[in-house]
Amino acid sequence: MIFQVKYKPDIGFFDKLNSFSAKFNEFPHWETNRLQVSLRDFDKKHSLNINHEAITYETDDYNKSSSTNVINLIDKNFNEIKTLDKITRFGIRFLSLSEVDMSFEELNSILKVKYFLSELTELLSNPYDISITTKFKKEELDCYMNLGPMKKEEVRNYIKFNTEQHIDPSDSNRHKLISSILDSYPETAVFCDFDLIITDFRKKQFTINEFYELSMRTYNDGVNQLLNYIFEEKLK
Amino acid sequence: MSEYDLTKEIVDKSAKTATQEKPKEGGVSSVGLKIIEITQGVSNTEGESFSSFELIEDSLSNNFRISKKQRPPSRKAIRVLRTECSKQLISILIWFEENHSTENLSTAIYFNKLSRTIHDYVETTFHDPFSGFIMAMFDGLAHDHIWIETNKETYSKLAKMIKVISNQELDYKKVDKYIVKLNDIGLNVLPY
Repeated sequence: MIFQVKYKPDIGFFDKLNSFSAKFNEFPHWETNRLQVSLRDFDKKHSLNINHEAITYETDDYNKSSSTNVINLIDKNFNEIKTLDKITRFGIRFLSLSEVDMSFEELNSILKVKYFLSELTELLSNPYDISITTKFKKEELDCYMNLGPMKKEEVRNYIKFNTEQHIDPSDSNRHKLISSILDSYPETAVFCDFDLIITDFRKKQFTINEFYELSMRTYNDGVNQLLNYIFEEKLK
Repeated sequence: MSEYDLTKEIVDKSAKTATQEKPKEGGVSSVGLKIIEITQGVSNTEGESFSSFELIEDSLSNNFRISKKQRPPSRKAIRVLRTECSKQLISILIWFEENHSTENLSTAIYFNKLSRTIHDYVETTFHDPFSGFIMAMFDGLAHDHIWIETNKETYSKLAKMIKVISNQELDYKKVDKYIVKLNDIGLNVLPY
């Protein structure tokens, strides 16, 4: 998951950067070049980056309680560096794999049947790999979704594990750890890239927590409904 | 004997061995010649023997080689594809129930749709016993163009039968009983 709040930059920000970053003491590691601060937790594999135009929270091992805690802290302390009306964009992106107990070809067949007319698949010479990309609106959210079958060896091309920020550079077993992460991906899975953003604040000015809760609800409901539709086993 | 002939003979022998011996789960049958790998028989969930190898022709040398298949068909995949096929078939049969008449020119279009749906499913999921039932149903309707004279009540019964069968765990014995029921409602399926 990648969560980001973008705001209008101003020069006064740099005076407040360090004191704001100090609020996030649950991150044991930090790095700064005076223009931005990067806070990291190698055990929980999440990080927070703060610069003059955005706060970005990223996790490679999503944990509801840890993530909610960080978002709450951002929401609680945001006024120290900005006011809500300075926000220009909210964004949250989920990259997920839903493991399935079937071959890649079977999963591809199911998705073809569920999403395409047989005439189309025949016209395309029965494609052996498909994906579906859609853009839609849900409440105030602009949603972008890409969904498709995925083999284990393809995952690294679509889900980039943030090795720089989520793996301790001083760890001598670093390469083994990266290798074991790549090895732990499922053989066959439904890959979903779900991006939700708000850029238009004319109707409503969201707080950070409100946006986060709305996005989580939209994402969970959306993906659950999609998977239930794709893997429907019985007629009602 | 040319190398190609020898290879083909070995492949033919091993194909016969694998299907006739009905290897048990975990058991091994082997053809002990230099180019053949050990094959392993596996039973799928319906108790049918599943051949664990496939023949691949090498286009350069014109020889055949045996390659081990990855895995037996997934039960979940079969059920999902079956449900999707059933939904489409029921939708078409309900159209027939509501609209079919000898004067309605759309009937032929819908029958063609029925045919495509059934044949698409059978082609990709032939190992599902449900394929046997829907093929028998199609043959019964197509035989002597019975589908033109079939009344709306029969189409309604067919839709209900598909709904009942689709949600069940199936084997070929159960499907045979349902095929006999097709005959009872007026489709001539028994000659097949």
